[in-house]
Amino acid sequence: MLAQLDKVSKRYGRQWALNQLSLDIAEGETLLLTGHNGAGKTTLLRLLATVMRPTHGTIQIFGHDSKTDYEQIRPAIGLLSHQNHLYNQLNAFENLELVAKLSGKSTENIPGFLDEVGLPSKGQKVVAQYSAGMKRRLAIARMLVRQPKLILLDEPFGQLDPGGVEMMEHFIQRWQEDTTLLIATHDIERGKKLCSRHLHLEKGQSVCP
Amino acid sequence: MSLAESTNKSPSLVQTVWLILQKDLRIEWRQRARINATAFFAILTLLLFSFAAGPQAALLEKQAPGYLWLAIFLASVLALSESMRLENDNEALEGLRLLSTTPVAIFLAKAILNSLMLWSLGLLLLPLSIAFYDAHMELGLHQAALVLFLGTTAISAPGTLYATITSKLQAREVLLPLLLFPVLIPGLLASVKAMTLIYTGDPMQQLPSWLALLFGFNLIYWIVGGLLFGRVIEE
Repeated sequence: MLAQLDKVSKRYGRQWALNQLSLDIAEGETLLLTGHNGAGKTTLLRLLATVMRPTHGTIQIFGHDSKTDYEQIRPAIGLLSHQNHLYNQLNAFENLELVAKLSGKSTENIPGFLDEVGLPSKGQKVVAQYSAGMKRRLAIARMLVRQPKLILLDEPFGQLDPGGVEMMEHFIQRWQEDTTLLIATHDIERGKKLCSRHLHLEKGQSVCP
Repeated sequence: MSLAESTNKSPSLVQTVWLILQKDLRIEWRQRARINATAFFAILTLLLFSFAAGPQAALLEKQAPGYLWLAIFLASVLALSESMRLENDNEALEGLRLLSTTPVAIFLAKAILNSLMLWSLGLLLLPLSIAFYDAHMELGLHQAALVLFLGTTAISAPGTLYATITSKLQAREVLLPLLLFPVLIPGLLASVKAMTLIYTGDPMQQLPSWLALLFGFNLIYWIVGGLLFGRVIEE
């Protein structure tokens, strides 16, 4: 198993976002995550990304405990969240260059990645001047630079124009070849087409979809 | 699949600190808002002290080292509270954490940047304080620069830590000085004493002792800051 959640709960104040959730994620599978707002989708993704720790229960990713061994796990995880993790005062190339250098990856392919997501490779425009859709495209390019083994996508089709949605689908299909994916979306029909398994969350618990 | 397959050769601690510092310097240079605001605030504070003391040249000259450090001290709150803002936009700090960047590297880069800013500010204020308060220095400029360096690094390390703690709070502008000032007082006292010797002369050779004390404070602040920063940025 690539990731195993054992009776995982997460509480914010008095509110339980996840409640005793157990889940196995096999290597290479694409898991669709659905549920109403506040059902716990984003919390689950953030727990798997190790940027958050469970209140109760354990999460094993790549055989490591997410609470203690997060520094070993993180290089292999890519999170595309509502926040894009971009620096507003840097341009697209500079943002990706920083990611590449800090991840120990080559910077040679950055112009190609920018081209793939439909952003100009030599533009000096800083990210602050980008539209929400362009920022999302750059966040996808960030993922291409890092090449993680577990990709967590939180509302991947949000903020994208129809061309962007098509591009996102193309990338998901490409990543499926050698990557494990978790896709949280309200676009259930599109998600079902792309995913091999469906997990529906309600009040922090898994229910039959 | 083993985790090792997916990981690459990560940069060393020094390389990581340099990469983050380089990025921050680039961003600071492009915005320049924090630099300009801090410098103007500090100069204004120096001027206000001279108005508050009135036309008493002897008093102003005597108090010049204290006023200089108070101006740096007060302006540092402004500079420090802004230092983590760019990391909170788009949750960029979370992005850094996901690259498996060690908290120590992030802390060092941020604290070095803040030190550079405050030290430069001190070097700018030094001749201004001499001009505004009609003071003069008995010891050399390099000794004054060293005192400013040790004094500002003693502000930056705990300042970076507390600015990170308060950066996501709504009342951060109020909370930062409340938390930070008590911690900074020992370093401030040593800095004022050392700078007074620079201005008035050091016949008893006391300066090395104050510099050693400042160095000691720095050692504690930077080690504790580096150790605690991980706890602050992780949940």
